[in-house]
Amino acid sequence: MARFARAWNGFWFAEGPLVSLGLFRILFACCLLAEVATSRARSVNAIDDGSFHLPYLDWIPPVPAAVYQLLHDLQIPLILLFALGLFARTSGTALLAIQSYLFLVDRLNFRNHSYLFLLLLLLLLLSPAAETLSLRSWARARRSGVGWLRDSLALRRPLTFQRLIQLQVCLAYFFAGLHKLHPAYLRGDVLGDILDFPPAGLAALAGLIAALELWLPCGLWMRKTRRLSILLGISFHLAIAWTLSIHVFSLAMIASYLLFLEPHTLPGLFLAGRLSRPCADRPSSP
Amino acid sequence: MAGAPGPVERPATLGRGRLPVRLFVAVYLVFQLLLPLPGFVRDKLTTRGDFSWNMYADTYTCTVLYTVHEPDGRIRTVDYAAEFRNEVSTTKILHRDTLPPLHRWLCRELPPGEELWGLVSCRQNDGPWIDLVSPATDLCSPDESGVE
Repeated sequence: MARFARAWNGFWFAEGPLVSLGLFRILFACCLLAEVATSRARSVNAIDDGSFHLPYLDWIPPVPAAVYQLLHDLQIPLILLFALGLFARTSGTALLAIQSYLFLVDRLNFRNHSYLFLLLLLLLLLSPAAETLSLRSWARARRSGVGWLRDSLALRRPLTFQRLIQLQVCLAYFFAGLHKLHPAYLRGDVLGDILDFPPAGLAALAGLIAALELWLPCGLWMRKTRRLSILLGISFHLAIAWTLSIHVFSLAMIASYLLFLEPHTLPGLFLAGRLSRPCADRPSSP
Repeated sequence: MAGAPGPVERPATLGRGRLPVRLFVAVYLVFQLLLPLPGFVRDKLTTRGDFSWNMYADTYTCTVLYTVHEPDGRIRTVDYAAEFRNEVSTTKILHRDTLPPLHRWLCRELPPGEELWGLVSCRQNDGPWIDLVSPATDLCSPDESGVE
């Protein structure tokens, strides 16, 4: 029992560098920015225009069209602030409130990826992601006289919310894969409806997709299989983006792989890139 | 490399996290494990399976016809698609758990004596076509949800 508790605490509450989380915050904010236009076009059930409504909670009212547009316009500066890590708690909370409203105001607005984005935004907001690779960290580094990048790379905090984001991504894969384990999907019938793909290969492709979605939640965590899993995941999402034009969701999922990297990988890459830059006062090799 | 983070994670102070954080983790995990379950235990005819991460796993096809039967025997067709703001919404509603509110909405302005009848037939993947609404039933009568 004590061993389990130690492993549990080590997993959830270990400290580590925040740089992956900070980079994910920036990339995720780019996804949110790209998503504003889609939300504007597709969350129209939030508009009070006399048509049918199906709210999750009866006390959440729809809004006039002008307010609906304003809610989308407002998201842009809030996302930018969140990306820059400036007033990140305030901007993130306001953003979460707007997106939660647009999500909960009508069940007909439900989309899996806006739901996932809402969860990721909540977890990022609660995380210390804005403490690194942000204007806040830039100001802190300036005050202390340490280089910004060095300060960002050195910062360590509990990785609890990073772990939750990782787990959330894996749960989405796992349940999505589990849903596909039925004969009609595995025969390729479902893919046949949505893909322009040779019929003979549909069953094999369907099996591959289901297997990959069930594999990634394991493979991404294990050191030995992580690199391969990330490569497979990136290929999978690029294929989704290419064939189904689902670009933003694909980018967000690919960005989330940063969180699965070993704690030292990204800092190592940053520092290696910095050191390999041509530098006038560096002695040239003979 | 001085000041660069080392490769080894070390436990947080006390190694357990603060109580609110621990509670949040526990509640979040329980929610995220339980929330998808209804989408697995109930078929798509019963519920759309929101929150269950059902992404491109099924085909779901429906035919819909709602008609209003006037007291003098005349029948007029309800412009179903016109009740919604976009085409996607017209299919999202066609499940047993979301049809009753739609029926209440369609009934809201019918004068006394007029009846709303519906033919909503759906199939999940290669399954049989199933009627989700009792045919030849007034969906506006107070004791009749009409959903089978």
